[in-house]
Amino acid sequence: MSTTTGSTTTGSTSMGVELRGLTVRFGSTTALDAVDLTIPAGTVCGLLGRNGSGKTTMLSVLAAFRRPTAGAVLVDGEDPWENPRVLQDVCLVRESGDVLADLPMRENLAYVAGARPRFDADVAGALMDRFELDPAKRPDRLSRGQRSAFGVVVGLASRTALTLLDEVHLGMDAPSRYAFYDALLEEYVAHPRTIVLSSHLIDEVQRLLETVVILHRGGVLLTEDAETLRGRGVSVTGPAEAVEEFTAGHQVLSRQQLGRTVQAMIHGEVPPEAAARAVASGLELGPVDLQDLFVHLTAEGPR
Amino acid sequence: MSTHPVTLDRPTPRPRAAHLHTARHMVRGHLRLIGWFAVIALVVITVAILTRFAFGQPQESMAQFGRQALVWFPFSIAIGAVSSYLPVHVASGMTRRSYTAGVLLGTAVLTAGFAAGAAVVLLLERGVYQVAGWSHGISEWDPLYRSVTQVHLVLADHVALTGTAMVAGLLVGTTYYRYGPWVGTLSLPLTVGPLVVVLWVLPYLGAEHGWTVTQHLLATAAIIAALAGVFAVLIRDITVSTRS
Repeated sequence: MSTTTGSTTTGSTSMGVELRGLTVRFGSTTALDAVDLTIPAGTVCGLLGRNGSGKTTMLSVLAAFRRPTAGAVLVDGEDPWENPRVLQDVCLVRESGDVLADLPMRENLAYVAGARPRFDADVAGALMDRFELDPAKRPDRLSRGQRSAFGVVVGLASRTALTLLDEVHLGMDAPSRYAFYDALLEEYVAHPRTIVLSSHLIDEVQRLLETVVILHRGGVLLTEDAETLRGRGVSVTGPAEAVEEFTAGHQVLSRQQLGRTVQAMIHGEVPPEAAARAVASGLELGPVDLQDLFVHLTAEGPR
Repeated sequence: MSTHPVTLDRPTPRPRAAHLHTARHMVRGHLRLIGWFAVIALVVITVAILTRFAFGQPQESMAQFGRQALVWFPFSIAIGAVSSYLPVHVASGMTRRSYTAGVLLGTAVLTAGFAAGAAVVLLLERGVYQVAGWSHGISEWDPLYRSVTQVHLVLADHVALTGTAMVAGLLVGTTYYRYGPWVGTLSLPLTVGPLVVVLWVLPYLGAEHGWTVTQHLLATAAIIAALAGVFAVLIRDITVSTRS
């Protein structure tokens, strides 16, 4: 798996992203404020943030849906705005879907196929099956979840070097969401590309993520690879008294109890000796839950 | 094995042909709607002829009064082409430049189709009148033609009217999409005004000053070009609405 940053060559299957001082304002509201960010090519990047943190705005700028107020946007080393070489390999799928609502999905797929050089009709057909979508149906006659699923079909079958998925799975029921996660991983393994996945469902998507970007109030709160981020804390599970003793003096992010067993998430590193003592005393240690960490970090974020 | 096989067109080479891609889909996407329009128009014309016949022998074309329909129906199609095709075009990785070129090309093809359809209907109606022994008069004062046998003038007349209507429709749709309902509505005099000029002011001026057909068409072409230019400028840096 590539973790190379910066630009790649024409015809590549992964594109990196560089943002330098990216600012987007809507009147008096600043949606993104001088954001500097690098998203490495060939990774699955989770774009996390609370409502209004600027996720959709950032993705819209990357896909040239809108122009930034200030700053530089580089996708594969070039500004994507009105750039046919870059844009043909950038796909932003939004939950609302950008489709021809009154034409059958089959015609919508034909439209996309004519625009995307690497579109795979077999993958589209298989995903339509997986999500139980009838190509003869029109998008405006689908449920919210089915429309979301159709967006996923378009996004994955397009096989663009930079695939941006903006809360695409919100309308889906749990089986469809898990079918989406599986399809995403299968496609990513078979045809590596850069995938940016914006989501509120951190519990569900965290297993997919290699890098994590957390936006907060229009700025980047942190950007790290997922393993390093999980290393910012520890989950401790075991008898209540032992857990209480271990977590004393640590910042506890969350605590759940079932009978006499307690699971707590603590923020901060645990020295190896302390970890060894904890394991010896019957406690189970594991990586911190990203959602708990996210809630903690965004509650204490700057500004 | 897919139970819903997705049969797709052969992908169009990109990016050179992006505008052709959108033009083709714009035309194809409206064929069913235009088919319904044609069926309704034929029924209405037939009923009008029969109704007129009930009061005596028809002396004039009924289809000639369909000119207004050939203005406002294409106008409404063009308005919808902005909100439906612009987001899909950009979301499919194509530029605004190619959208502008594609939609204008699609508009030109649809305009030619509407004009040809109008000419065919008028000629068919004339054939029916001839068989029945009726006179096929043109009583409207403003068309460029005085008889439907002047096919080139029939075509020119409808290309001018429908073409203006469609480009004005694109401009109206773009203004609403870009600036929202308030500005879209308040700017209607500017966006629809040129169509009103072509519909009613140019024929009046032409009659007053004895314009030739060429002069009339040149004036209309200048208005269409101006509308298309403003449309292209507004699309150039338009934001695709973020609804999600």
